[in-house]
Amino acid sequence: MRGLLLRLSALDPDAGASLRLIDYYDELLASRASLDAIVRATAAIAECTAGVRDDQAGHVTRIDLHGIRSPAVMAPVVAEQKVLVEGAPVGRVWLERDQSHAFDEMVIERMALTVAARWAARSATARPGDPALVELVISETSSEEDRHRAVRLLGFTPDRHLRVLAAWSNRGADLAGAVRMLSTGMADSGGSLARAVVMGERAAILEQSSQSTEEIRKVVGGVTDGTASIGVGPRVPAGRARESWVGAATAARFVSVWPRAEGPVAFEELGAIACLADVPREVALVNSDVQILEQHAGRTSGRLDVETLLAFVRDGSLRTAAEHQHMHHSSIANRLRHIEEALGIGLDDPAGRVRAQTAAILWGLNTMGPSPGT
Amino acid sequence: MAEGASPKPGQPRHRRRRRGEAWFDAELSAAIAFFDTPDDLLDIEAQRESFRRNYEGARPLSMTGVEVLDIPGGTSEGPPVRVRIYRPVHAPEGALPAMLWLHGGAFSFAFAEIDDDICSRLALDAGYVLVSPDYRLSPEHPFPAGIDDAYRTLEWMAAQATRMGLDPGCIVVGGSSSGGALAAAICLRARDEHGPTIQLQVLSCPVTDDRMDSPSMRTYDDTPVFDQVQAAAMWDRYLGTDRPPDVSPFAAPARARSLADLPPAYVVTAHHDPLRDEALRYAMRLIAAGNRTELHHFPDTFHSFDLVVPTSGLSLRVYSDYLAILRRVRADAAPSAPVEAGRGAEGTDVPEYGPTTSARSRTA
Repeated sequence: MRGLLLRLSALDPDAGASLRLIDYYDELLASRASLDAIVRATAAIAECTAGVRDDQAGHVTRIDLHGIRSPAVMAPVVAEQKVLVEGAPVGRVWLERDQSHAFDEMVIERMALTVAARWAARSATARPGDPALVELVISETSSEEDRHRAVRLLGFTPDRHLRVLAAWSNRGADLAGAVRMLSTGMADSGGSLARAVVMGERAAILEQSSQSTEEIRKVVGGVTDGTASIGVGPRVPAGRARESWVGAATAARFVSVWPRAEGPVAFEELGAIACLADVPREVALVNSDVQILEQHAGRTSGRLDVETLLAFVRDGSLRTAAEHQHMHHSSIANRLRHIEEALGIGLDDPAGRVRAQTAAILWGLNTMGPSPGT
Repeated sequence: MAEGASPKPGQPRHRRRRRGEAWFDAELSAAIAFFDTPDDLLDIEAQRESFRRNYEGARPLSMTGVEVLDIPGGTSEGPPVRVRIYRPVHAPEGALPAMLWLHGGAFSFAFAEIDDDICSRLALDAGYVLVSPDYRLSPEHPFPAGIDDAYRTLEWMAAQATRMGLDPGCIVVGGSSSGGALAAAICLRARDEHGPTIQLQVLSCPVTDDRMDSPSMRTYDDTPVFDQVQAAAMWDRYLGTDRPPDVSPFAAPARARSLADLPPAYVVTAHHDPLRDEALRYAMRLIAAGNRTELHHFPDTFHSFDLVVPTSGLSLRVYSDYLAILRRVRADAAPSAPVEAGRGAEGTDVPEYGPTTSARSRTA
């Protein structure tokens, strides 16, 4: 529709046109444009064939101003530039046209930068400065300015949302390895940009993409191997990353407790249940119901009773709990009867069930898995 | 507060209209940087001037392989209004299939030339004659001026088919945005008034319903290219602010009580578009009424994305689809005629005549 878009070549090379061009490429980057999209968009704005060579893959992509790949006719190169990632040349970009235009240099410069950023983002390996920057982003005491700068330096787009994932190491397993797998998995499946920091037995992963919580949960669930408990924080504006971290850290504590049998827990799914994580440990452990469960768990086969109660909390029915615990449902019923006797509560009674479930969650949160505190 | 909505200091006042966390496809999002939208979207003269100015500044259209000519309106044997005709030069012998194309512009803006690109490309690639009337615009000429011009152009095409080298057994209609409303209305009217047979209706992000009662219409009050505010103004200009309760289906096709016995349809919808849901409803009703209908909804898009940013990956797919369906209709109408290959999007087709660059326009 020849009426809505301004034509770059028809604009005065004043500040206004240059800013539009910068905006154009910023948007491509922020929207995580594919390489093809970057080349097409360049060909469209420069009104000529644009090309890119990826030295690593040994691959050339040329697209003309109509979006057609590998046009047969090759015009002279009017502008070209190397693509540098972390100082090393990894390819080159160029424009083909019979004559040069005033904006060609600027266009090719922007194209080179955008392609470089695209190729840099596909690498999920940590860069030396990253961990400290990630810690800065989620820290309680950072200034807004420092946070903003750190977000930018990490390669994220500051005015878009991101989320934080928390990973707790299970039984001293290799957290760094799990975090690497997670980051790569999220990048491969959904084009996430992921940057992480490992802080002893816990890790934080910043993630930016357009994926929903459920999509992230699925990706993460598919990639992890049980070496870490993962909590998925809500998507927040980049400046509020700490909120997402706190939510993720809380969610990670619920991994063996609520609401799913395996895999990561998303903070958003917890709702009001998340508040149980805020009950101080001392308060939870002196509660008589929780004490009874703790004592019961100390007895022979008592722990299995309590874990069965947890399974029942999660799964809601004897049959489902039995499937997940690989037990016969009468065994489940038996074990739950022990719990009923110990607590003096009937699980058939709605009030009793809520009481027992709450006690189980509080017991699980404070005796299993990672301890609270960030 | 819409994410990234406020322009940075020193930036030109071009509109970056994004709503909340709406993500647009990368190439579409980037294109917004080059929108030329008047500050007051309800200023008709400013909008019209903007279209004219950008058309004048656009890349010259010089497609070898397509002949473009204008036929004036108002003569006794001529069309009701000026029509722009796009004819492939290297067409095979015999009558060609024809497409009546209605441009968009909220019934108030633009002119036939605005869709020179897609009309030329379809003529060249699909082997059709494209006919695009410069129909009268509201508010100066409210309904039914526009639809009358469009429908009478159809009648003229059918009546003059032999003289024009058109195959009356293969006439299709299509349109974008308000042009889509006209295209759909033409099909309704041809059914009701026993008019010329239409083989296909292509409805691209069509306007269909003056009642504006849908979730997308309520939600999208500030989206690129088109929004609820502009939609309300559009209907006021086209139908008057004092509307009767029974608006004609030739104005708002969704008002038609029955969508049975209409031509097969191809409908394209965009996501962040106030017209989305009414178009989806129209497509579903077409299907329910037994019409052979294809529907393609595109996420991460704004209204008329395929025409506003024809070079984006998504737009190339839409174009590919138009080509495919036009070729199929053509083959069905004349099964023994060879269907020449044309340029396909993303290298899907091998160019036979009019190869990609030598016969097509170079930049000026």
